[in-house]
Amino acid sequence: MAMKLAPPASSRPARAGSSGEVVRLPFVGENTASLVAGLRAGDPAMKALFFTRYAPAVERLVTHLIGPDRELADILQEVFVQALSSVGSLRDPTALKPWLLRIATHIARRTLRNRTRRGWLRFFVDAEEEARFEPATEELDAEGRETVRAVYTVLGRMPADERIAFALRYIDGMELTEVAEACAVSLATAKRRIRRADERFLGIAGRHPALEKWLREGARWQDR
Amino acid sequence: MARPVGPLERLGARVASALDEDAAARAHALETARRGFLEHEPSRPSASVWFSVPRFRWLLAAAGALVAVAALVLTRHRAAIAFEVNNTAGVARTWLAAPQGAALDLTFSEGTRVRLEATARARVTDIDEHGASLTLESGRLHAEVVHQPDSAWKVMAGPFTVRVTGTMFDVNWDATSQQLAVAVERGSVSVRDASTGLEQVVRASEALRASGYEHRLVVAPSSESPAEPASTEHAAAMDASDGQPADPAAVEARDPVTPPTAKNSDSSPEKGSSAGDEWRALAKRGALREAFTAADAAGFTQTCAAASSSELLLLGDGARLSGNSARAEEALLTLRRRFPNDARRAAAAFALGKVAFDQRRAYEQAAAWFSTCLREQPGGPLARETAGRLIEALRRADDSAGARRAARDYLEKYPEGPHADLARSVLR
Repeated sequence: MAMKLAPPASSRPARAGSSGEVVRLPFVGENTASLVAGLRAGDPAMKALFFTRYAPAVERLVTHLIGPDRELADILQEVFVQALSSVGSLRDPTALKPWLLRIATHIARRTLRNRTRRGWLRFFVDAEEEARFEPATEELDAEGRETVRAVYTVLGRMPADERIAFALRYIDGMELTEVAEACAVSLATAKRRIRRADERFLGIAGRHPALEKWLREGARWQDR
Repeated sequence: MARPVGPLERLGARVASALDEDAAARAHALETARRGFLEHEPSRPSASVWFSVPRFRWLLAAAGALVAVAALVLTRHRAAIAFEVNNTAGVARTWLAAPQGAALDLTFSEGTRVRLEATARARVTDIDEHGASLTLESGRLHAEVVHQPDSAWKVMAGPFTVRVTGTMFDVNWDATSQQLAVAVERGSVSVRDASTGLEQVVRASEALRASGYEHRLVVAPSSESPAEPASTEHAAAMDASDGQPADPAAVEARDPVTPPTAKNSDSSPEKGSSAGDEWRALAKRGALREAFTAADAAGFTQTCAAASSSELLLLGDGARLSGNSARAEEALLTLRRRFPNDARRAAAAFALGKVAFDQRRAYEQAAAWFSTCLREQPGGPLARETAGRLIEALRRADDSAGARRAARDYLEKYPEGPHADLARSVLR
């Protein structure tokens, strides 16, 4: 073994000088440009860092868009695979995160549209779809689970574009400009989609008991 | 101007909050995706503009997905890796201890070799067709990992995880002092501190030194081992504050243990006794659970009364890892009472917050401890993580005003921190 490694609990003072000077390298999180450069160069360590740094935000967004989902891992993986394969097209490395979230939104939308198409071929409720809302642990509160189930059931009956806009705006809590950016549409289009989504959601949710208490305040929505 | 909050916003926030409760399943999905992504061998990244050309998006995306699926199908048919320990079949999740003066050689069927140097303790905690996870309890190991496109190897030591694809490197872990050293001879690894989220790449001919207490990762050329990460600046900062907790103070006052106050935190009158020797020896080896069991058997209260501040932190960790929150609190509260000027008081407050949050689910109490830690060391090494945990605790405690205050404070200081997204979601 060629490598020499001092014991970890060394009490030696910090050295200075050209050969032994301690180098404080910037953390990758502080330098997105170097991360993008590493990804473009195919550096496997940067690939790992890319996922570590951004996966929680992507996971959160995708979960908000599609709800609890058994295919979440596959969707996340696809987002990162696609991002990696197209990172060369990223013009502004500092815009890595919004660019990645746009890809995530795009893939979530495609997933929803594909499921809608497949849904036409089914005559019965898919047991697996139902199971998506079952708690992973006993700690989940029943009321919250029921609300989640109801909201995503209603969203499931809406067109993918409106569903995406609704989820970005209300569940993920994005500003209108952020919704427009994530959907890669103009601000006016984003506003129009959200308005339509509001109307459609209200129309369908009115028939869902679990959403009743939220709908009681519906009259105020028109005043926004 | 703040965005108006209507019923749809409230409904959406309720949904987001309920989804957050399913953290375990989501974390599992993240780990599965991480592995799949790292296994995926990309086509060479290029200045492709496919994503900006609508007509080609579908075709290329479909091709990418096909490649991903094909890669997954191909790789999943590979047989699981087996390993031997000194030419004897190895068993996963069994502790391996290299004796004094001799090494243990772990040979994996795909060619990877790991050597546990004398007195090192480790175990193979997980193994499949892509690689293995090794937990290094204490001591030093040398690894030569064979590079495969889908390799997934990691070495875990305390809060640190060393992720590897194909490389040659050394890891040295001292559980007692919470010091980690990594030296890379070939390839590269990434080292992550789970308690802070900090991650650092270490490349060939570089070495990294990290401290589990101080949460710093320092890299230097491996020809010159990295200097000690602890700094006098840090020590001064830790000594400077001596705030008193609000609610936690009442807890401290109720604690029945009344050991003498010690000025020298490292003084330890029982160090020569056999009972003290046993748990200390175990703690030194990093066997914190076993150390706690030994200390408990020898009389936990007396042990705490005789322990130094650093030992009390270890006893608290051992009890916490053993799921004994009462004993963990006893050790940590003893530290805070006996060592009123010790720098480790804030670390104890942070640990008490974790016990309250993770084990007792007493979120208000957890928030009080996290606040105490921040008050005592506002610029300390744990400050960022503590500030984030404070938001979580206040949110769980249904203190929305407090959570918003904490979120604003967090974003002011750490706009790019690991809890920044959570903070922003709280403020929406």
